[in-house]
Amino acid sequence: MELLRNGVFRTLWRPIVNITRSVTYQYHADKPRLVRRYGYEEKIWSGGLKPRSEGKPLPLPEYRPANPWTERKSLFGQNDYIDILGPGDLHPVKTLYNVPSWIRGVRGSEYHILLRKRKMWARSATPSLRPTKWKEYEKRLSFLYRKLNRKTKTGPSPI
Amino acid sequence: MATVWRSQRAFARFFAGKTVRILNNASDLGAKLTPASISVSSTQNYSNYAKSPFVKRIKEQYEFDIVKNPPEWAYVERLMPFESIPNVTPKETYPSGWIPPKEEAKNLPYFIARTRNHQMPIYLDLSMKGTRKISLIRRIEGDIWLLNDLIKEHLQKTQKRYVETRVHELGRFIEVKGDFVTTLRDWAYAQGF
Amino acid sequence: MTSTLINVFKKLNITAVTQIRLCSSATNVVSEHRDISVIKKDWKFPPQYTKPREVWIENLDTVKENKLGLFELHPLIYATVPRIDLIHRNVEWQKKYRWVSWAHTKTRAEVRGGGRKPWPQKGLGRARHGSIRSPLWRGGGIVHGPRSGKTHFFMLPFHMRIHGLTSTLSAKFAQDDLHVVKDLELPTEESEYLIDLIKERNWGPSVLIVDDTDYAPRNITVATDNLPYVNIMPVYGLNVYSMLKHDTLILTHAAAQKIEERLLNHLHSNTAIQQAKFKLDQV
Repeated sequence: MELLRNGVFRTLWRPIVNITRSVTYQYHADKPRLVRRYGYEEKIWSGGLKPRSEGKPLPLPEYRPANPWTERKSLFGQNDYIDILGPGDLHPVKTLYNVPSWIRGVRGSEYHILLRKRKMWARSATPSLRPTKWKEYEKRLSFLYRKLNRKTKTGPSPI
Repeated sequence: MATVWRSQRAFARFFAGKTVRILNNASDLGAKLTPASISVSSTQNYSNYAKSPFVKRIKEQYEFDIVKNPPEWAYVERLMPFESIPNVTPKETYPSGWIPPKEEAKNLPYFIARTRNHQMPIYLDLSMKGTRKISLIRRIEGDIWLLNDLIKEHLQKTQKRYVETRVHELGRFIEVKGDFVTTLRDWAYAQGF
Repeated sequence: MTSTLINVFKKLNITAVTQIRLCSSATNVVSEHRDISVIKKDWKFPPQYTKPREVWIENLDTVKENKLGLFELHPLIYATVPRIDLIHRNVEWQKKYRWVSWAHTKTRAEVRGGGRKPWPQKGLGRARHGSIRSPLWRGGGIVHGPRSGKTHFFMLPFHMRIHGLTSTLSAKFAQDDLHVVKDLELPTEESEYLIDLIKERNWGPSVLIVDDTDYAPRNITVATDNLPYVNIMPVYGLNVYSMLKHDTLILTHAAAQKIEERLLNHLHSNTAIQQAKFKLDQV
């Protein structure tokens, strides 16, 4: 009897055992997992290092050291002190033959340089020979003018 | 612009020896090109460009011949700017109050060289809107640390207080905190720099 | 570069005492043995306090070094304190003032096409776009990209450049990397002779030869033609960058004098015109 009672009690009474889960609602636990980008094949290899055949070097580019003694490099800076060491009538800016004349000795923002370029090229054949380029210069200039004069905050006045 | 070009063309013709043709052209236009006609003509209407006469070469007004190294050149040289700042001519006294450097100062273990204008290179450096005053001694040669010690000692004696200095060995200058330019200058003159 | 400059300081510390009174006893001894004359100079602006430096005049006509005489160098030019900061600023200036960056990107206005709205504003469930050349798009324009013709030009103040020259010359001289030769006459026009000579005299891997004239003698020009690390320059071509790039600086007797004369003249004259602010229309 005792045994039966115990058996019945055991079958009827079931202690509530909380199976700890991080998900609060069963709905979330039971719903099928969403597969993102279903049907998409990942094309990037993410399995670590790729196998390579033994003895064959990695395809690194061949090391080609630059020659530091080309004529341009070995004579770099020549005549930069010509106004000091020379007769004094020639400014070093005048010896910058590699730099185009419209930009030689010029310092300024893109707008300044473009203004100067347009001023100096307006009398050349550029507007008629390269009309698209010329139009782009003009377009850029008008854009920069609007940006700098109408949309840029000026700083505090000096005094 | 057009006038200049026109006159240049006339010059070119003139030098090419085609004066006659110009005159012919001019006569075609109804103008007689003599100096008199160029000067004043009441009948001619010069406001019309086409009717204006061509420019003629003006006769050289001055006769000159080129001479090399004339005796008068010395007077021109006197007016020309100096090529470099001249050396000081020694005098008994200098009315400006300028003090010449002494020869015996060169035997000291330290030296303050004069500037190119023969001035003492001791300056006052004002910054922070004039609240920070630093006296600067430049162009120091020789033992700069000994000079620093002597300056400190001298300022201690005259100012009756400790004066902070800073030595820049590479830049060859000493900075003294405070306005001691006159004191330092007098001291340097007394040393003979 | 830094290691060389550190060497200068080591040498300067050693010579700091002798700099003040430089009565070289060694030269006297030599002059007793050989018949060598010290060329005393009569400067327009004589040195005030620091004694003039003496330098050997060497020869180039034999591989073995022959000392032809002694020569005085002005301390204001060849024995100043080498200011590393000024040397650095000079080199930076030399690099920058000629540097024009030609990197270029197109803005959305310059990239071809893109004038039409790619799809309607509403009703498709897609993001709103007005142009296919917008910077958000692949193949679209670049915002704030480099624009061609960016200059880095500035002029270093005149006296800072003079000081850079004197500092570098002094550093070279203090390191025993500055040699004065009588002239540039070589007996042959073969490069091997010059290679042997440089090796014999320990003139380092690269040599910069500075002459007074525009035209160097034929033999040395032919000999250096195939040696890219041996270069010849006239006096007015001398500059800080080249002096630092080449290990050894060889000045002819006339060139050393001319450099000295030019620099001394600038140090003792009114240079208000040269010091004035650089204006573009002045050159």
